[in-house]
Amino acid sequence: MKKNICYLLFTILIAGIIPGCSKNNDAAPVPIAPILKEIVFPNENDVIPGKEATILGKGFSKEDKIFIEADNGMLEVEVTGATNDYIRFIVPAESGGLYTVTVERAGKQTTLDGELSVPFIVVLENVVMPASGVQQGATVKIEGEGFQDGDILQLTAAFYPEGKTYNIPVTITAKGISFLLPTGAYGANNAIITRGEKKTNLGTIGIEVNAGDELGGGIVYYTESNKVHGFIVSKTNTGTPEEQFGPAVALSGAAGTGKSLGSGKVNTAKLIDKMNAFRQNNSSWNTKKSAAEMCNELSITAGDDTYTDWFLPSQEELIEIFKVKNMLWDKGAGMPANNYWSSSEGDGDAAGWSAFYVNFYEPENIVSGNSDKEGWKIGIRAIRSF
Amino acid sequence: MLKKLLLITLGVCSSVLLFAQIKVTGIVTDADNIPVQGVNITIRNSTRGTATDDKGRYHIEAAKGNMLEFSFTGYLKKTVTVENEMPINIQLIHEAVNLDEVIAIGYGSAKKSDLTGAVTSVKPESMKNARIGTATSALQGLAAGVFVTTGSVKPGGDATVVIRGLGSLRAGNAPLYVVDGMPVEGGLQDLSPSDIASIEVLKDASSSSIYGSRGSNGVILVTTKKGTKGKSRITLNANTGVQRMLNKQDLMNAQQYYELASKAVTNYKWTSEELRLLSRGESTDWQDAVTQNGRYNNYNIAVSGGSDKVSHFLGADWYNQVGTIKNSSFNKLTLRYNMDAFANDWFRYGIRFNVIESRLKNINEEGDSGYGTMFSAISSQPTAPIYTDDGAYFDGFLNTKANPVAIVDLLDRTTQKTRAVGMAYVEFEPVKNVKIRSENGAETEIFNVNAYEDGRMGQHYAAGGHATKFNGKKRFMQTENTATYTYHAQQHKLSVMGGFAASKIDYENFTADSKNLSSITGYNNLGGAQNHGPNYSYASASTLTSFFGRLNYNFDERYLATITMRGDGSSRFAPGKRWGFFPSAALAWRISKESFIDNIPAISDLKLRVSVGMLGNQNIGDYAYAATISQGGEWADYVLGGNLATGSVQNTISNPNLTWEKAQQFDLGLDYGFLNNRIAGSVDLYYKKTTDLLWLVPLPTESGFDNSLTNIGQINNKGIEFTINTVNFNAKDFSWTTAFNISFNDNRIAALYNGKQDVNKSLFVDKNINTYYLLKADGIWQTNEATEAARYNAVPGDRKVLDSNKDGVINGDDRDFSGVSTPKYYGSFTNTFKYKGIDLVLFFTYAGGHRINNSLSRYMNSFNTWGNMSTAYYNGYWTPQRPSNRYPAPRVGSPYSNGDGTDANLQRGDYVRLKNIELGYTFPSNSFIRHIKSSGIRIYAAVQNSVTWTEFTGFDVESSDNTNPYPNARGFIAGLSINF
Repeated sequence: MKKNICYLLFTILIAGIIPGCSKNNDAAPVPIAPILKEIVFPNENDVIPGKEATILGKGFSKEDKIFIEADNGMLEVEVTGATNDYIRFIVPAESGGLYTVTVERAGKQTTLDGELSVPFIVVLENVVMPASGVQQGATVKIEGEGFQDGDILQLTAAFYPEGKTYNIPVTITAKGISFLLPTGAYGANNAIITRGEKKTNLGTIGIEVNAGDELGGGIVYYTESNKVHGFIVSKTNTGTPEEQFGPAVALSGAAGTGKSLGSGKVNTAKLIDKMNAFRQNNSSWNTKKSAAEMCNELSITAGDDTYTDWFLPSQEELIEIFKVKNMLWDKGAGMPANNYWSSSEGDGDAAGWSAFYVNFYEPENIVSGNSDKEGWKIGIRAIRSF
Repeated sequence: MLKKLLLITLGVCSSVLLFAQIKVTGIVTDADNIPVQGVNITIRNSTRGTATDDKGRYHIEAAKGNMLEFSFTGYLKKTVTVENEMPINIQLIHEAVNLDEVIAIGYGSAKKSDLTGAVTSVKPESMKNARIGTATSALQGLAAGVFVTTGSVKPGGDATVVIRGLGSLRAGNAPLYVVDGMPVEGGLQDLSPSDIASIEVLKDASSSSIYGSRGSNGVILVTTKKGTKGKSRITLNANTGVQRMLNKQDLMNAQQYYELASKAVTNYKWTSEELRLLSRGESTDWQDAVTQNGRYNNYNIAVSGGSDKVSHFLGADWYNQVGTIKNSSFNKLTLRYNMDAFANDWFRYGIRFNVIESRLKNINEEGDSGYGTMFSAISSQPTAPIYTDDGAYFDGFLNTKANPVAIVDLLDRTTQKTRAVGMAYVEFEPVKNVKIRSENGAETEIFNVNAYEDGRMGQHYAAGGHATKFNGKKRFMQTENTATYTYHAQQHKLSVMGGFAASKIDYENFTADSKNLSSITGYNNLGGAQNHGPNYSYASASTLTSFFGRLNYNFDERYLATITMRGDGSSRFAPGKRWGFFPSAALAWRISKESFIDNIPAISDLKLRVSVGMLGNQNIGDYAYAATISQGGEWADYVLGGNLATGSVQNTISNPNLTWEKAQQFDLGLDYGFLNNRIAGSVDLYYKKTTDLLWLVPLPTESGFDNSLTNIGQINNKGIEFTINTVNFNAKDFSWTTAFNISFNDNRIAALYNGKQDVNKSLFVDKNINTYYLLKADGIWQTNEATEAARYNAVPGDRKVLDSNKDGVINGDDRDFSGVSTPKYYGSFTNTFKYKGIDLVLFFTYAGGHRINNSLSRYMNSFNTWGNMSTAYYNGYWTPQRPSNRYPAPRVGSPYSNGDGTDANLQRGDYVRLKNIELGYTFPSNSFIRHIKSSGIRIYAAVQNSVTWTEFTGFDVESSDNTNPYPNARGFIAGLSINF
């Protein structure tokens, strides 16, 4: 009996204490696809194939795998780190174009809203361009890593005829590449390395020119000190020796031109705009062209290239021609004795009705004044810049 | 003939054999298996008898079939037939009431039968129904009219006791506790329940008025154990147990929270840590994260004994509780020594000495509950991880800005208390029947709160750490001197007591506060902090001088009268207003002693009592009547010459007329006992009128003060208390007793001030102090009510609030009375079964008639953007496809969504709780225990808070703070009690 009582009490005791010693264990958690918020893809300019890219957002984990997917399939990329605010990974070196990005964690995947835009570029490192200008036709060396056989160097320049590109095969060297400058290449050129669809802009190569060189449809008559920029004058006059500048109108009709070196191209554009406006309300110039229009419409073909970017020189640009007029005669581009229109309008109130000219009658003295745009009839010589 | 002779011989022999006397032996014990000396044993219908010796043993010659009757004063008679089984051990059980019991009444004692006032005795063994907790909390349910709530069940948490209803608005409603004549502040928490010999609750004016200005809320008298003459007795109690948290709230998991928050707040800002947790399919259960199974153990040893000249009692008690919230704990060491000595036949002396050392650790429920551990756990989003990937505590909490786990891990808040209370008395009888007694006692309490809040606990806390040290010291001393004259002559018994007392109490404390300091040294090196202050210090003192007297008169044991008077002079009041006088009178008529009742055997006891008197309440705080000057601080300091100068400003206006709160009380009681006191109890009706209530009455702005502490108004409490104790079965080996009590109390404010019918719409004339006055929540606006809802700037799915006055606007004018927060009735129900050595106790407590503002519901059952919500809300919130009338749609800006200002979060507070179920076994004294020289061993197992039946859904139906409660727990206890 006592034994039974003891058993009873013991049972009650154990029954009472055991439930007090344990807590219910919940079922094991089941992972779900990663939940990611506030996703911001990097700008294309911040993505370089073969380099780290950062996707901003909340919810990334260090254990995450990243897959990028384009039309040609899905590719896992190397994740280099994840914080509470971003995930970083290596953009495959061969990638380019738009990719969807999928994050995988514990076998569950989430595809991010938006796309990763990878630029088509050739990845080069430690590129060193020539420090100064190079001679025309010279062999040029560019240092750098990442060049490959078959890479093509493109030289382009805004002052080349439209569509004009020099495609130059390169030679791989110990430090980079070398290539031979083609004939006709001059001035400040943009150098781009291309490999299939991919391109990488290396920077500028300056090809030196000298006054008197026959280039770009005319004769180089002025260069800046670096010999990379300057002006080319047409070998011949435009129009007749007796051309009007344009309509002489009130001050309000002035185009707002300048006199300095480098202002001729802008002056010409302004004058053309002014002529277009003038013709809206006037018909007196409907059958003839102004000096600026005549230069603007000039097209000169030299060899395979046709140059159409001529303009009426500013007063200073025209004076520079005057200074080398003898050299021009030597190059077969002499300026017949005459007064020549510049694109620089008169000063102050004279801007509407007058423009500056330069007297090429003078053997040495620089004579330049302003005269009636419409009343005077003198010569026109177009120039280009590079 | 031979055959006849043979038959006669056989018959005679058989008769001799049948009526042959045999020696009957056994032991008589009480309900606790303690041997009882002096029990009378008689053979029914004979004159033979005997009595038990000091070990409860007896022997008597009896024949088989004889009926032995065992009787002893205060115990029910037990009758046993002599059979073959030997020995015949008997366990006597108490009558339902012991009228001869002598109980304390304050400055004296009296037989229970002689009482004229409403005094309830609590049996110490009943307090075992609450082994986990303090002695105060163990009083719950043990006395009618005594409402005990365990406002916080934190380790070391004490209970709140209100006797006969709330009678004060500001001066406190706690009763006066007196332990061995020494008043005790803060309840009985510093007592070991094992040291308690008896507890008397003085409820009416007659019994309480001997304590005058401190008695208006009733008095609880505790008498501790004394040694008794005879062999030394050693008692060892050991019990231990575990606690499991109750009522864990059912909250959304992370996935549910994510779904709901994403839907309701499209731009919800998720942290990466949360999103990773969600992806792992995990969810943080913050309640589990901060809680654990609590542990409890209590060891107690007592040595008592004495001689004719000296008796002593030495008790040591170790109580240790590890809470259900991690890192919270409480432990206490209690030492007690009581000694009584007779120097000679007219002079005796003695001491009572109690010292405790307690340590309370990491309870974060005080102060701002909005930042406590449990509320942090409840409101933290389940999507938040505990730790970040690098192991740091996650710190992205929307609401509390604190990591609950970091709080339990890092918070270092320790409250240490050392308290020593001692009293020495001398008593001499210079002439016969005159006793002069002088009790002189003192108490010193040192209270220390050290806290270090680590900055890693969350943004809510100072980043560099914050440490505070609070040190308080209380000193109390008193002298109480009485002279008592007793006169007995024939039918007249007279007792006159007179005395005077004086006491002084003083407090001092300081708080040092530092920030940005080492987490290693924390509060132990405030000097190493970068920032200091604000620091505070404070000191105050008060004195009380009293004269008191009591006259008891008993005529023929039938007519009893008591007159009591006390005069108190308190320094807490202005000169001229310091003395108050508190008289009372009581009459009792023992109807059962009248001849016309005496011959009705069914009636054992019947006593009618009536008492009336006045009591006071001096708990107004020190210097409350005076105009006080505040020096220093942001309200007083000023800038002079570009420098901050310390300023002084008068911050209160004086009120020299401030006086006591006065409680006038009338009590009509009936004590009864039927069937040889197998059924006994009492019924009391009372009416208590409290006037001169202390209240901060608003002042005109031009006075320069907001308000003035003034005596105003009146509160009435009236109620009925009913107690019944029965012995349902009293067989030889089986007994069943029942105790039941119920109390009803009606509390009403009878008057306020200046004819006002309400104060700020929170106190109302003719209403309960704790009346709810709220808007009426009326469900949810439904789709077909869109037009009407728009009138109230609501849309379908929003909470509908009743426009009571139909004016088209929801405002304060639409409020109505919505019940009360204090129970209208409460009580307990106990059943005790004993079968041989086995005992089973079922102890129920209950309360009802009130409503509880489940403030946690405002967070859990409506949509909020910064914390978790309940699963019920997730599964039940309103949508057009799933109309609900309970849970508003998750819409940011939804009016009255969380139910604030409405009765939406009120829940019925009615409950019945199986507070304790205990099964024990007492080994008989003739078992193996003899070999270890033990006089008794009892083992037991108990479950506390087994079941609670209630509609309330918060953490605990009794909790005073429903926002950040310390969760209640179910305790599983096993114990052993050995007597030597």
